[in-house]
Amino acid sequence: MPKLIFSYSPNYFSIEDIVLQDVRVSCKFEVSVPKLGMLDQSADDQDLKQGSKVELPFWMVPTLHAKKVITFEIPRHYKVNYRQILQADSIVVDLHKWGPYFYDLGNHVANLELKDSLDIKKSLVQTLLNRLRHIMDMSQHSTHHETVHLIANLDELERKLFAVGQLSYRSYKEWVRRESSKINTAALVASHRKRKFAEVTV
Amino acid sequence: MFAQKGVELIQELERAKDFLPPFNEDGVRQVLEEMRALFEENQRDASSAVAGESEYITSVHIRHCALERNKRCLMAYLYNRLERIKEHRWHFGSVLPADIKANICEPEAQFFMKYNKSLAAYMKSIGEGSYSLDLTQNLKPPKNLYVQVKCITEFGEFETEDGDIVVLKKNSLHLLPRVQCELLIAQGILEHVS
Repeated sequence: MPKLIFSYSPNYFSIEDIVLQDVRVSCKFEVSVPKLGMLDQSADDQDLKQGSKVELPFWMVPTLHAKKVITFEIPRHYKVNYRQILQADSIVVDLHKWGPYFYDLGNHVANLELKDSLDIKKSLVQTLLNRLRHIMDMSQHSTHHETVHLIANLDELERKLFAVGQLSYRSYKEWVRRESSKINTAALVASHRKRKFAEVTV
Repeated sequence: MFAQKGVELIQELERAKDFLPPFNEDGVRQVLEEMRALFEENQRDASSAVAGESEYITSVHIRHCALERNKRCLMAYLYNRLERIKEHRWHFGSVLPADIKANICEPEAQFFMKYNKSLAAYMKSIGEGSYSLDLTQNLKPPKNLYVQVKCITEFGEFETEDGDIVVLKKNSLHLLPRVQCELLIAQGILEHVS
């Protein structure tokens, strides 16, 4: 069973959450910071001057923004013109290209108490709402081979939902064919064996 | 940039979704070194900030942020590895295959041993009298006592609970008690044919 819960941010140990917060955000320093000139790679000063523009990883932003050290530009895919695209027709948008963790990062951005926060949150919810039906449809009516092609423009959260849908459909099929009581090799063992086999043959 | 090495560790785990990559001792050490350097610089700047040079406070904040991030990466790296090791116990049984064992470090091996022990102690405690309940068995509701199985590896002799000895040769068919072959099926030695 794919673990949906692991993608969510209150989880300190979540791999996805750590990876998605590594996105670069362009920031502007409102105060000068001594000794940390290395953050700005275009200048070779020892100190970071007030007003310098630096690309910082997202995990730095909440703390520094709250302390009014920096101002930052929200990632462009959450800006108003992109929100309008989503409003027009969200189903055709390639969300994976917009950021593999579109919803989760959006949630983090919206939680920074910006003046756009409420609109961003509304747009995220509406987007998922619009797309969910289509995703569910696909997961129930597609063969295993089509998967790669179908999930190409889904964000990671949607991919997990898709996988859950597909799995439930497969279990239902198994039950109909009375195969559900069959004992199977554990998935972990099977993939371990395949890898070992690949090593031997290479 | 700060905390690059830490994220690399995490990405390594993210890429290897369904197996346990070798413990990256070198990576962990590099992160720890970065953290020590950050901490020492912070201590120096913090003491001068206390002495009255308040412009250093921002630098301390930024470095502290990086420290927290590094800490989170390390903790998540170790924790997620342990979670996977725990999962391995349920699928591979109490003895890990040699090539998986090679990928875990000494403290992790100790964890696995202790986890094994507490699991066994727990399973012993929930049975009645001299019986114990094997939680790794009957993961799916059993429909009959015996199952027909096909052997898919050269396994050798296998002693059943009542003392009979069955020779499990490749491609041979057997009718065995369900209880006894469930683990062997999960390990991929037998295949359930219906």
